[in-house]
Amino acid sequence: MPNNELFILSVLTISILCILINLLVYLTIRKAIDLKRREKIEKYKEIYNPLIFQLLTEGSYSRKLTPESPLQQKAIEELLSRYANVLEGEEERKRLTEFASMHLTEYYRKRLKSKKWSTRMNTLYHIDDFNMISLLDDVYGLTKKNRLSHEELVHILRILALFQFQPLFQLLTNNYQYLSEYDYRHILIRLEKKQFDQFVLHFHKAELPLQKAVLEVISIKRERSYLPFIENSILINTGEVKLRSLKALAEIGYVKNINPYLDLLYSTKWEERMIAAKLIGSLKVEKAMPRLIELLHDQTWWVRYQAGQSICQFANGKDILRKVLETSKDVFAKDMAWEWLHKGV
Amino acid sequence: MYFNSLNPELLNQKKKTILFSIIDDEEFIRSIIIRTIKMMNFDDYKLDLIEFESGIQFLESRRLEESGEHLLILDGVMPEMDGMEVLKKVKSDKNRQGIYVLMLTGRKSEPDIKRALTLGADDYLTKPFSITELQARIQRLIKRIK
Repeated sequence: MPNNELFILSVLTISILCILINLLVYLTIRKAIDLKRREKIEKYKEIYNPLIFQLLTEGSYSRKLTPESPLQQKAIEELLSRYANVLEGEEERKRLTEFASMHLTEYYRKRLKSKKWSTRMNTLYHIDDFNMISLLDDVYGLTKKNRLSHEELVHILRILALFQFQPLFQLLTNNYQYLSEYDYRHILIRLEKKQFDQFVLHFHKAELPLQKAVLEVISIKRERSYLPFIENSILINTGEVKLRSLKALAEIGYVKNINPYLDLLYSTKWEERMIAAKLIGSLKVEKAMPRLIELLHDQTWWVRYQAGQSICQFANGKDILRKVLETSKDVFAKDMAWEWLHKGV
Repeated sequence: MYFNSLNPELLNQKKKTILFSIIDDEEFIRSIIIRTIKMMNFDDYKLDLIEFESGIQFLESRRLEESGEHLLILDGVMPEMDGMEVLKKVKSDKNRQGIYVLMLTGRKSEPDIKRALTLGADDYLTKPFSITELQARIQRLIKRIK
């Protein structure tokens, strides 16, 4: 009986050892292949790099720059990707796009059909980086696929926005109404004015996340032509939409008549007091200064912080803060005045 | 005598030397900057171009002790010693003239730009950048050397 057990144990040990040796051999071979592959790619990169630089800066195209094998294409892709991250000159970007479209379109077309999610995602990132409008139809075609991850869908929509794809408005307002504000914002930020105007016109019918995204994009772009739209939105909306509209107005930093907004400095909602203080700071409205000093004593930290920042934006702001620091009996106001005096702004 | 003054060797000797130092931890960026400079036309100057992969390497090299006009293209974000520290050290000697610093950095915030200019940076360019713009800014700094 012990002999039998010993035999089974030996067989088991030998089997495990064999499996481990096979695994080791497999991993070693795989690593060696990967290293060899990487070595070849690096060699190609060394050859292509000066040629690509010349192409991007001078527009002179070398015949040696014709990738045929997948490794050569990979080398070109890696170099273009680095250049795309570093260079932003209009002419350089245009040449990069032309070159990528000429040599990588078919390669990416195949990769977009890959069953591997990571391959498709990486390809989408490269199409985006290289601005490859030659693949517009292929990218749009992906939206009709049944199995599409959320990340993939958002990235596809971002690329369509980059290409100023006309039917994007219909897609976002009819097919993809469930996206978050964050997703919408990252898509809309890429639209040119003409395309973006469609979303402004549709604003009142849109869902809340899309409305917030539209206002955020106007805030970021500080587009003054949307001023009447923003002022109207403040008048007719309440809650989050009104606050976002006020924020957009503060970012634009211009209004014809400030009087309607001065009342908001006395609002019972701290968010409205905060945004109104921001607006007063952006516009440097002298007559609102006494109220800004009062808001430095507000019970909400955010309002005090914004009041401090807004006071700082005035030419004599630091003197006013110094006076508050010396004369105020409110420790919170003194703290905030001290903070803004020592921020180095 | 007239012909002697046109002798290329003699002309070359009379040329001012510009000591370019490229300080950036990314080899790829350094290679782009070097190629960009080599593409430019510096007829009136002799070029002496060296790259450094860190601020420490640059300071330890005693490059600034070499006589001539120095033009530094300095990255803002580097490990160990960042570009702002290098800039501070380089510009600390107020009596030292002829060191021009162009910051080429990913730091885009207003306080960073303000700090660099206060510390004495002569120009500030953010990454990603345009080759044409980089060349124009280098040309502008070289005009100041004149």
